[in-house]
Parts: sequence; structure tokens; C-alpha cells
Amino acid sequence: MKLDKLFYQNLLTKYFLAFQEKDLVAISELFSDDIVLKDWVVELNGKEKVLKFNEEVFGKFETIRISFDNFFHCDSAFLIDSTHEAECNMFACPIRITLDDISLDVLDLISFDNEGKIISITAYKK
Amino acid sequence: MQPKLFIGPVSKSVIDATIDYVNKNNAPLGLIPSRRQIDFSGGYVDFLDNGLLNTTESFSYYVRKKTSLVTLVRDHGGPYQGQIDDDGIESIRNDCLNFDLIHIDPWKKYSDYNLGLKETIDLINQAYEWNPYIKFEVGTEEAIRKFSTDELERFVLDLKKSLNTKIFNNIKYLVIQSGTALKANKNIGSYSSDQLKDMIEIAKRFNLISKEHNGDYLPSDLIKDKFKLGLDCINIAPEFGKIESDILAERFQEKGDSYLFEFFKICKDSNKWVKWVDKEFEPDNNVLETISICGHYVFSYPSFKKLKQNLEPDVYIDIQKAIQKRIKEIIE
Repeated sequence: MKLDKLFYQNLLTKYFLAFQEKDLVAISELFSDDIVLKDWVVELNGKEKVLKFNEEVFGKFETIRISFDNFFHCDSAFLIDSTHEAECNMFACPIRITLDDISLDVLDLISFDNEGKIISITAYKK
Repeated sequence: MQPKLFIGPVSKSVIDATIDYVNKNNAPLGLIPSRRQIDFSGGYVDFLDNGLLNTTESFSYYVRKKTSLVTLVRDHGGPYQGQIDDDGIESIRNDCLNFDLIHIDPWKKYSDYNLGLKETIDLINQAYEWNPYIKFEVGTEEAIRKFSTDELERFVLDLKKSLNTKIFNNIKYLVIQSGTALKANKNIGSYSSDQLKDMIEIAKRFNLISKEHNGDYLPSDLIKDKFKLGLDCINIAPEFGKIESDILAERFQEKGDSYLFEFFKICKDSNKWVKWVDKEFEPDNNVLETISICGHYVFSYPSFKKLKQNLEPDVYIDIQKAIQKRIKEIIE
């Protein structure tokens, strides 16, 4: 796979920035219709359900702040989780998310389809 | 209503102070990132301050989420104006998608009149193809290439002759030159009010908005006199960076000389002061001046971010107040 680093860096910036701004319209434009969201609490399939979940999170907190140090491209050959086997546009993003006064260190695994839409987000809490 | 003041977004504080000012005062302002400050692939201004990519697109998103009163302008769009000496095309393509106005400025690469004119026409035609609503600013500041009054008039006439009328009508701003040039923290230009009036006259004749670059460090009264003579608007950039750097230096000094020295060392090692000073300038003999000149270039350096953790966060409230005080002095 030929990786266009700037292209994906831009998409990730757009996603995290939109999340921070609670901008559901911008987030919706970044999601594939078939997106899958998994974290330590929920597992959701489809854009509508994931956006609804985001809306609920946004309603619970006044301010959301995301710090992002780096992202790493994951090669599918090294993935144990079978749900990601076919995906090679996957990035591991260690972030710190601050929801009002709660800070969480999270590892987001974000996968893109060939059109640059997000098809899966798997989040692990440290 | 058109902005009278266009501000160089040299730091996050300057951007946030500008947004806050327009929202509180319902008064329009412009933000004019150069390609080195913010471009399609990043820049030295870390306005997001969270590790995300500071690009043309994220800048536009950041500002527009907070206000519609700021006009977003690419300052010096074109070749040789980025972090690397490219043709500027990819940058302009991104500007067309995210900004209101592009200053088309090929004059750093092409000082020859005919070559500069041709490149201006080519870049405008290309940008219009990407976005027929994008507006343009033409000409340049005298530090890049000096224009006589006659030559400026010929330039606008040649653009009018060469461009399709619809495209020519998207040119809204004309850079006029009345004697401004920056060196260190001073404006060393030699001001000519006659030239200012003559060039404003050219802009008016073609229904263009007159705009002067490098309005930094001028007394407010002089800027107001220029407005009285008919100048429509002015660009100011490093002066706002100096305001922030000076306040930070003062706070570090209050904390202890070692903190000030650490700030100075980061500035000195950056070498960002070199282009603003004479060859004889010795940073070690000019600690505060070195910080004043180039402090804003290092705000995104990890070493500076670590150092600033020693300051109380309320320093940024004072910085924004000082920036807004200067904005007020100029436009009210």
C-alpha cells in the first residue's frame, strides 16, 4: 500500500477536531454508512447509531479536548484481531481526551475505506 | 463592511484575540496567514495546540466555527513563499477551498515585470477555475518588489486587458506602496504621502480596495492619517507577535533570570532572528530584542511548550488584552 501520510493526517485532524467541536455534521461527512464503533462500553453498527451515540456523549459534557501526539500506520499482517484483517488503511492514535474535568488516555484504532471514509473505530482505555 | 485591519496570525493568542475582538465588537477584521505560518501541509503557527495538524483547512474550520466576521486571506500566495521553494500551486488549490481571498504574489520569484504579470494572470486563471467565487488581491509590498505609481497603473491595466472581465472583477484588493519596510522591531520605510495618494487614486479608478502591507510599528496617528487620505486597509503581522513575546519575556524575568535566559536560548538557537537584523547584530548583547524579534516563531517548539508550563496560565489573558488594545487603537 502506498501511504499518503498527509492525506490521512488531514482526515484524522478533521475527525478529532470535529469531535472536539461537537460537530455532528462534519463527523457525519467523515463516516462511512457501515461504520462500526467499539469501545470498552458499546459496540455499534451503522452511521446513524454511531452518530446518535456521539450526540449523547456531546450532550453530557460541556467541553471536550483532545490531545494527539502521533499516529501510527498499522499493517494488517500484524493484526491479531480478525475483524481488522482486510483493512490496511488503519491507524493507531494514542490520544488523551478530556471531558470537562475527566481525562482519559485512549488508544483509537481508526480504519478508512478506499474513499477516505472512516469504516471502523475501536477504542481501548488505558 | 470591509475590514480596515488585516492581522498576521503569528500565534494562537493572536488568532484567538482577533476572534474574540470581532465577536465582542461586531467589527470585521481579516486574518492573513503567510504560507510559512499556515499552509496545506502545516506551518509554524500551532493554533490547535493539541498535536493535530495546523493546516489551511483546519485553520479555516477553527476560525469559522467561532465567527463569520473574520475575512480569511492567503497572504503572499504563490511560488517561493512556502517552507520549500515550490510553485505554490497546491497551496493555492487548498486556499481556493478554504479562504475568501488570495493575495496572488509571484514577485519574489519573478521581479521582471512581464514575467510577474504573466504568472499573476496564470495563477488567477487557475484559481478561478478551482473556485469562481474566490476573490483576489494583487501587487506586492516594496520589500519584495518596488512599484512606481506608473508601473502600478500599467499593471492593473494589463490585468484588465488580459483577463476575462468576470475574472478581473474578482480582483478586489490592490497592494499600494507608500514607504513601509520592516527591520528588527522597527518600520524603517520612508513614508511619502504623495505616493500614497497617487496609488490610492489608481485603486479608486479601477474600483479596487487599497491595501498597504507592513503597517507594523507605525504610530496609530500615522495609520489614521493614512486612512484619512483614503487608504482603505492595512496589514500588520510581526508587531502582534512582539506584543506577546515581550509579555512572556517580562513574566519569565519575574520568575527568575534563568527562565528568561532559557527563552532567549530557544529564540537564539532557532536562528529565526537572522532575516530581520543587520549582520552586526549580536543576540548575546541583545537578549530582549532577540526575544521580541523572533519569540513567536518558537511558540510551537516542544522546548518552549515545556518552559511555558512554569508560567501562570493567566498570562495568556493579559496577552489577549494587550493585542486587543492595539487593535482598538488602530481601528477605532
